[in-house]
Amino acid sequence: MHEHAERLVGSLVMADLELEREFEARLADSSRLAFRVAFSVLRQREDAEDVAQDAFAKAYRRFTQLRDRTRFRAWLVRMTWRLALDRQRSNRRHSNRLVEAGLQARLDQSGETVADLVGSRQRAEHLWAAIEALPEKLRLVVVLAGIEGHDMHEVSALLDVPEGTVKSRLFLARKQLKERLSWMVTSTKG
Amino acid sequence: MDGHKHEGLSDEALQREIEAVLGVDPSPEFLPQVRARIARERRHDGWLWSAPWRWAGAAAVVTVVAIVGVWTLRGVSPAPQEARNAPPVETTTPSIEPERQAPALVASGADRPKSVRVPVVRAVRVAPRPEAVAPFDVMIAADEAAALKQLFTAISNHRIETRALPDLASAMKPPAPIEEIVLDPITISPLAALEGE
Repeated sequence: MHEHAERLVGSLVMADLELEREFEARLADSSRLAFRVAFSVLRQREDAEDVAQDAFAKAYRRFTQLRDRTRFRAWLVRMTWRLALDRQRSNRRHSNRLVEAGLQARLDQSGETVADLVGSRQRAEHLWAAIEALPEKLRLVVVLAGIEGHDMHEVSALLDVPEGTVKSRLFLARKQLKERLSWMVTSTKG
Repeated sequence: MDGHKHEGLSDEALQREIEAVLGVDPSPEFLPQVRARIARERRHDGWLWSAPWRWAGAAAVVTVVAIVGVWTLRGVSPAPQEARNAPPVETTTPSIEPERQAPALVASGADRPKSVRVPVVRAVRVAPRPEAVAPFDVMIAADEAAALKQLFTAISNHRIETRALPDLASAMKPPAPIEEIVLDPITISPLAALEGE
């Protein structure tokens, strides 16, 4: 009886260790995804890191409840998105913040001048505003299609919706974005 | 209809713009911070919710729920329902059949009436019940209830010496079952003929 109990406890501990290892692998694989999803809502690096961290902590606590582990990334995206929206609602400071992190990365890559930077900031601000004005479903599709080089199939897997739905949502989202940003094109051309 | 409507902002250009604003990487400290947070979660949950404790806790909860369930089921009195379903108590009164009635008194010697046995049976028959006998609802008057309440309060406050009380246990014994009462037959002796008749 005692041996049986020991064996049972041992197997349970082993199962826990397996879970720990699996979670660590998922964490390494999905950390950037969670951060970028949070960043797409909050547009501020520190806040996005906080929210992504919260999402991983939540995912860790509920990891055993996730039956299909291959769905981890989709699960994490949904949690991060929700947490980021909650943070956004409770913390409206982000609206006055500049998107410096994104622009700095862009400057580093392209070597733009300060004048370009001002223009880039304006363009980015308007693009963010246009993205935020999208309905939530379209907004999430645009964000997921815009990070990590996700294709339609991957976005449909992350959102757990058919690929056709992703295509139509992306089409509608782009159409609305173009309508809102059309002045940018004309002013750039002029 | 498609992106060509807005010249200069093609799908590809728009996608590049979006990727550019979203192309932000977390700081190098991000992943170590997440790992530290997970480690804190693990320590916090570890001692309390490690696998053996988790299983033991679940087993304890199941046991408690089962005990409470059984106890509750036993405690629930089905009296009102059974009382409603209980068949009515039938009370029979002895009926005197015509042929067994005592004959009219006659004075003729020829038709001298014989003695007649008229059994007088008074019985209360309770119809058998299909289910178990339900406990009866005890109904007492309001003043009796108040008196009982006062009595119990006094006993609990030790204002009454309970040893002085009569033996309630024997008084509370259930009454003896009702037995059929059979009376001896009434013998009616014939009247003597009147003189001169």
